[in-house]
Amino acid sequence: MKLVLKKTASLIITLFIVSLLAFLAFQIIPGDPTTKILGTNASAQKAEALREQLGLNRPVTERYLDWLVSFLQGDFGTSYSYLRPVSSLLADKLPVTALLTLLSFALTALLSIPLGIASGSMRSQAADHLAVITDQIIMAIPPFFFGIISCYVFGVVLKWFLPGNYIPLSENAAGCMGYLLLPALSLALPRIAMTVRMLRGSIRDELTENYVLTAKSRGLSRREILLRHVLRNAMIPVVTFLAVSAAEIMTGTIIIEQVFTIPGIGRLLVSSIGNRDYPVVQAIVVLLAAWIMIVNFLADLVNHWMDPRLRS
Amino acid sequence: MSLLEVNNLKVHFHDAAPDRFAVDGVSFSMEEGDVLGLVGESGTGKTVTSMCIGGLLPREKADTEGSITLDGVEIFDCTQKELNRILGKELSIVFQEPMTSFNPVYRIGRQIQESLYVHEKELSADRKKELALDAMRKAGLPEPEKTWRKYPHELSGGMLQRAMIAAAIVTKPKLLLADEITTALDVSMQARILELLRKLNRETKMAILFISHDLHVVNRLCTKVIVMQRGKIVESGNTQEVFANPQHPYTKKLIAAIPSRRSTLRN
Amino acid sequence: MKNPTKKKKNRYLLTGGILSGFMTALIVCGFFWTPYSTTAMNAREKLQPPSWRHLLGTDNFGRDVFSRVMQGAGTSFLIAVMVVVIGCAAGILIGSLCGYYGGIADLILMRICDTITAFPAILLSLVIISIAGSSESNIVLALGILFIPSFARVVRTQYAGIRDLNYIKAARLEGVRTPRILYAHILPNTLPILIPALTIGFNNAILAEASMSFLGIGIQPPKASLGSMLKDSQNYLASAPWYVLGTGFMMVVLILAFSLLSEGIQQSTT
Repeated sequence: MKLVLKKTASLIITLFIVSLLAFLAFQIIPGDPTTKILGTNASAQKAEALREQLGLNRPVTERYLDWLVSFLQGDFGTSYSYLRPVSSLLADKLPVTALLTLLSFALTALLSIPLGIASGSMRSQAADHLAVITDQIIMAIPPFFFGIISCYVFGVVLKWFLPGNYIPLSENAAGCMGYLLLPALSLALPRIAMTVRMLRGSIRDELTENYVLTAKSRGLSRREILLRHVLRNAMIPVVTFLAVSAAEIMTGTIIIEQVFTIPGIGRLLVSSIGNRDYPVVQAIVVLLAAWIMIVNFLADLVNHWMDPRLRS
Repeated sequence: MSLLEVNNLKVHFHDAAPDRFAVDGVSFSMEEGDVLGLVGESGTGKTVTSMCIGGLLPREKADTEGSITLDGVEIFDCTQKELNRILGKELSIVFQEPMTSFNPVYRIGRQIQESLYVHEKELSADRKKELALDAMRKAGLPEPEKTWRKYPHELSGGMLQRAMIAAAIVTKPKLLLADEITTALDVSMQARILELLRKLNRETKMAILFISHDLHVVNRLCTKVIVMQRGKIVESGNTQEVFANPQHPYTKKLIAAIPSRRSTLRN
Repeated sequence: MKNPTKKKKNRYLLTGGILSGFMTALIVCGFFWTPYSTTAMNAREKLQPPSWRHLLGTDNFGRDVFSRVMQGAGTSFLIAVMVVVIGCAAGILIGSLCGYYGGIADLILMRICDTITAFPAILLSLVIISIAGSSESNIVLALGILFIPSFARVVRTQYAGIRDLNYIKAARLEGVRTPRILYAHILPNTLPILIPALTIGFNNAILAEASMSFLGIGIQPPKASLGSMLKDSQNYLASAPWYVLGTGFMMVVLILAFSLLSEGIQQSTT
């Protein structure tokens, strides 16, 4: 319990530092945001009025605290290009990306752990070689190329779905999940291959440990040794890796949303970078960073629960 | 019928030279309540012999010949399932490294009662714990209830080895295989573990096969001794007799290598 | 126990070496010569399927896809090499000083490295590009900087392990100057770890550049890289699937080649 508090405190401090960095990073941008909104021909007075309205004339520290407080209240500022609150822009896009990320992460965890166990405990040499080769090849295929291939195979050739014809969640939840399945799988596949490979290596390493011999000497079956003894030890590094995967998947959505034309925050981020719409970019980056740190924090807690040696 | 009979045991590792046998025609037997010492330098096949007795030698790595019977059961004829019924029940094994022989992520208590989990599934959880606590007391672990909840990294090497012994005797086996179990411990802890083994042997009639490179330790514990060199038995007999009158030059060398009190003083 | 049988052949090193050698030769060749011009358009031959004349077919302007892929891979390859060189050089400098001297600066720098590596490189480079603007040199710089921590980490660990060994102490006592100790005595010992890190870094750089160009934030037309070609070719998925498949296949083989190579190197040094 004490440990959870300590970790939480450290998480909050890190979040604070990252928010400060994110804020400062977008202060050093060359150019004046008012020209972006009003165009280069706007009068100086008009620009000044807008600067006042956007609060650009106040000192940096004050603006940071203001920004932080309103950010925590869900007010992410106003988009330069849409002239709408960023929060309302995000409101209908965030659930899509969150759903895609969760779906993809669930696929990664649910497929890679059983496959990793199977591959780690496999005794047939030929099957093992085949698994290793498949693994290497899948790891070499970037998610967006997977996405393109599946668009071609399932969309163009088999015509199971229409690439680019995204079905909104509010219209048809099942249809939306169905549409998200392929992008989720494209994102998950390389991560699955990496996790399987890692768990496989981890299980093999653990199987050579002395405690396995002890367990054998007590008459436990191979299966019992694997599930009762080896798995928990072997999962410790994998949990950390799954946290990394969750971060990578979230970032991967930025690209995969382009491939499947899914209206999530990834597409918004890319178009906002193109438009130099900094409030939007800033809000998305901070949200993504917070997500990544929270996932790492959770992985840390899980690891402390799994490995008593970390607790002392 | 003897408790343990080893007959002309030969072991050949697949990756060794064709004429190099790790164990080369070893035969010996043990009766109920025997304390037998198996000595020799490292690499003479002591541990391989003990692994064979426990059926723990991976079959894909080595060929074996000869016969090992435990309580009349031929170990080499056992399927893995049959072997698993014997291991931890009739025969318990304690290994050299107490620190790594425990699974680091589980509490000591759970690991001590594991043999009961395997072999006495019908017992209630409370009864299992009771038996395990009892074994811990017998193994001389102070405050068993408290130690029960500890993790391996929280105990010293000596305590862990006692816990290992507790785990081994929880099912009241007929034979305890102790493979270099005092080697990783300091001298005073060594003495206390030896005392514990003597006591267990006296009280429960459990036979002990004590494997060590240290003739001195064997001399203090075992009634009978077997000396191995390069996979072969070079000398065997009553411990006192072998010590008083060693026949084989290798045994003489080993005895000469024991630092006697006088020579230690002189140096 | 001795193992008299011969060391098992390292298939990874062999396949990886051949494959990456072949790819490198193809790419280097692409700098000087391609089967067809990569820019000349030919309306009569547009969107041709693969044939002996055009191994990977032609694109919407009638340009030979194989020639374009050779050149696009060259762009990606050059960027990846530069990124790895920047990351590795700076990583060696920071890692060696941190590992050798230790202390509070080491602690803080390594903490920063860990924090940076917690974030996916693509996310951070998007941030940098969105602030600094999109250009080839900005991409190389952004990725190069983001690759520093991974190299600094491995180098630091090696230096911290080696600095107290006797031969280093002896060199110090003999009055060998510190830079010489750092880069002539210790650095060669880090190579078994550093070389696989280089090949992994190279792969990540290929992937990162491709991702950014695919998003339209990286290489801008008319210059082509594998990522920007994939982006283009996606529009002709139905009419010219060979365009996208050929480009993607090239990228996959390139990444696979170097990951096999790094796996092989790792296996041969341990």
